[in-house]
Amino acid sequence: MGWYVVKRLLQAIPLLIGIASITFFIVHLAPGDPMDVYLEERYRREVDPQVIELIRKKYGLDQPLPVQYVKWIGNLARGDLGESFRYRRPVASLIAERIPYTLQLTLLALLLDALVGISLGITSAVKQYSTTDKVVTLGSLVLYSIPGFWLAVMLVLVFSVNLGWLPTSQTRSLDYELLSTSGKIADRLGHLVLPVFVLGVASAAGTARYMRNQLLEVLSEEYVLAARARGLPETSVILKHALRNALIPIVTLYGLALPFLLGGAVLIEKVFAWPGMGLLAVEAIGARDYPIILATSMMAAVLVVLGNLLADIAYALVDPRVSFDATRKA
Amino acid sequence: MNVQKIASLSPINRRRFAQMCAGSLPLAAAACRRSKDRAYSRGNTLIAAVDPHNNDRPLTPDTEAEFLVYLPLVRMDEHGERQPCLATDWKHSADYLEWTYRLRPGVRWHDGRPVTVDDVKFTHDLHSRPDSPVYQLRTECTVHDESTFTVRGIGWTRWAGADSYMSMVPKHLLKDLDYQKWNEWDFWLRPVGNGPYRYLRYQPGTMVELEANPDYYKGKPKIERVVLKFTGQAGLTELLSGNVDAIRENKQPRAVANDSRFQTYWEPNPGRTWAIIWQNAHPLFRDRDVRRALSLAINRRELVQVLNLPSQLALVDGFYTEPQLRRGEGSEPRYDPAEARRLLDEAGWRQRNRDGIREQDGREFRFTALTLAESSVAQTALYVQDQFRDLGVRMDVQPLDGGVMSNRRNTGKFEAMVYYFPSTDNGLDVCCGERAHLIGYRNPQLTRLIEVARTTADPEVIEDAYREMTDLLRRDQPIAFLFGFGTAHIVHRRVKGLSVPSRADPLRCTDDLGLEEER
Repeated sequence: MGWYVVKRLLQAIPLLIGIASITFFIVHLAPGDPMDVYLEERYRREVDPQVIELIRKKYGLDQPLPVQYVKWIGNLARGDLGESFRYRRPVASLIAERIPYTLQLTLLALLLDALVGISLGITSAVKQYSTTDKVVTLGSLVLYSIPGFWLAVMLVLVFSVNLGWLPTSQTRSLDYELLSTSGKIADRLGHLVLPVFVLGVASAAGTARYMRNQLLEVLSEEYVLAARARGLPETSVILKHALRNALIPIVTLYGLALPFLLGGAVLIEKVFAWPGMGLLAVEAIGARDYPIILATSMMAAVLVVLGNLLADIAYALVDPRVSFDATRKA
Repeated sequence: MNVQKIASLSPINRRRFAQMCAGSLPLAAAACRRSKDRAYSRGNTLIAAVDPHNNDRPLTPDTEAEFLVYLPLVRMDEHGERQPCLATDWKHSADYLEWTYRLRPGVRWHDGRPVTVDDVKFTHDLHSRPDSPVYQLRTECTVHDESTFTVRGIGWTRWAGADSYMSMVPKHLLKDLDYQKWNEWDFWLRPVGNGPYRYLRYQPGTMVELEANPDYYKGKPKIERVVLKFTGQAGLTELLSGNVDAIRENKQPRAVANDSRFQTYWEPNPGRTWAIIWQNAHPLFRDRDVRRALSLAINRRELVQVLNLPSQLALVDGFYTEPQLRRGEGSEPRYDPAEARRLLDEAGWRQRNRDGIREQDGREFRFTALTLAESSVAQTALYVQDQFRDLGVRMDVQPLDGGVMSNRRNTGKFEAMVYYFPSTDNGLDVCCGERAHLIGYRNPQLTRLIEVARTTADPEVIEDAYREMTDLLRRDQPIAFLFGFGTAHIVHRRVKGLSVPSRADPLRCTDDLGLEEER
């Protein structure tokens, strides 16, 4: 397995270089000069043309595009992601500030997705055609169809603006530092409730539908019939025999969720003023902040590659029919 | 897919549906319930929503909250006159380029050190560096003695007025810091200033809290604490939830229009205006009468109502300085659809096709206007589109993002665009100066007047030049002005002491404000 992982990682290098190059040129092909946006956003008043030239020079925008590209690739290889035009700070430090917030949100949302989605999917499949199944099916379809940002705004209006039960936005309260440890934990969790619910519930709805169909398919297999014929209890048949096989595609699905973990959820972060990666990336696109756009795109590319690798590894772990040795021989 | 699976999607029965509806009723009732006013429970603390661009650093120079902590040399009153602040008096040379100030004695930084003329010189030198990240002043500051100093503008950029918007910073704390890392200085997170409020605590990603400065030169402010909450885009819901007292928006949101808890104070921004910029070289817009007709067809007063903007908003047809606008010299663009129709008829756009669009030699009067993909701007464009339709002119609207818009404007690749226009001589340069080719309009007389306005600091000369420029713009209509920019400060009614236009921003005059006590 170790050899397989190394091989896959080596294969990823030219792929990532290709992605980096394509991303760089596509980003620079987009109409709009970053200086226009930078000056417009930053100064909003007359700016001496000489000053504009100085700023261009500082960020290397006065150089021909191929020169900019070579410099960028060189810096990227050294781990230097450059300095943001908009924030005028190193991109690496901006990303480092945002990642913990994004991870809190996305990990909990994935957890909610897995717990709720898989449980509901199993319940729905086991109690096929029952009232529970119908309610779960209808609820899943409704939640899956509702746009996340709309649901977020509605929940904020009900639970924050009108009822005042939950915080409206941000990651903690103003008096956070004055709270006891348990108070701090409760405060952080309180701020996570709405964004995690909105983010997790829509994907849980999809997972529930997927899980239900997978389990129903597995339950109709002959080996399940054989297990039942051997007189095994129904719980054992479902949890030990059917569920493990039904989970294989789900596990792959979660492996591919890695880019989402660090990419964040743009609209949800915007509604809840959550200082995560998604918001950073989208604001950078509007501001033509090339260093941030390129850095976040590269991060996404790396995560997709890693996510695929993890999904393959997870697939082999849960499915004994898949063998890395077989792959190597092939 | 088998039939059984399809069956599982069949609708639930009526009884179950009724039960579900009944279950959701409490939630619906909660949504309609008027929330309790939580603002009063905070006591003598003002919480303002901010959206710091510089990541959690809302107290860097040139930000909305900087004057809570630092002081400028002077402040402008509602008549546009300088009032003493860190400087007690001043005089200027005949050409207005050289200003000599006297520093207020006894003012101290929040760490107890006295504010000196060295701090003032340090600040001017800092912002006059060619790579200054904040201002590009191009000034020379000369210290005469321990209380007087002279600032002289030497560069292309007119600096006059900087004394009211540039806050002084402490030399003793900043002189040894690496200037290239200005934006990363921790000083901006825990600033030491000389203004009405001093730093109390900072919570990353959440807020900065300030407390009233007992040593403030005007006496300790009435509001004990000010919290700058980093709400980002969630400012409005935070306000409605009662979590903040003040937010700023481009216009008054409908959600607060009829809410008696809040008051909106409109602060005009005379430096910018929304306008339709014509590509004057385009065959449709080459004729001056056609441009005039299109401008006459727009009912700007109604447009302002449609956009829910304040009725006192300045509608001007040219370029004016702030004092000119304060004196009421700005004249409103005319709305005369009958005259517009007559002008188009005379220009040869008489016939109308079956869609009601005017034609000339078989060619429709149809063009595309670019606009920002931002709701209020797009709404403006759609309103204008509707007015032009009545005139028999078809305007298609193409929304674009800000970066693409500025690129299209700066390369002249457009037929028309609904966009902002800087109402300064820099903006004039775009339409009539060296870069006039961008909008296909060139007028040597205007170019000369721009140079006059740009190369002097004498307000009377500038105003005369602006008057002449406005006359020419009114005549030629290379752009159609729509309405001025502004900021709506939406503030909880417990905040007392605000007024329009000069005291509309609660973060600019906090030292003069008070908070109503709980009833």
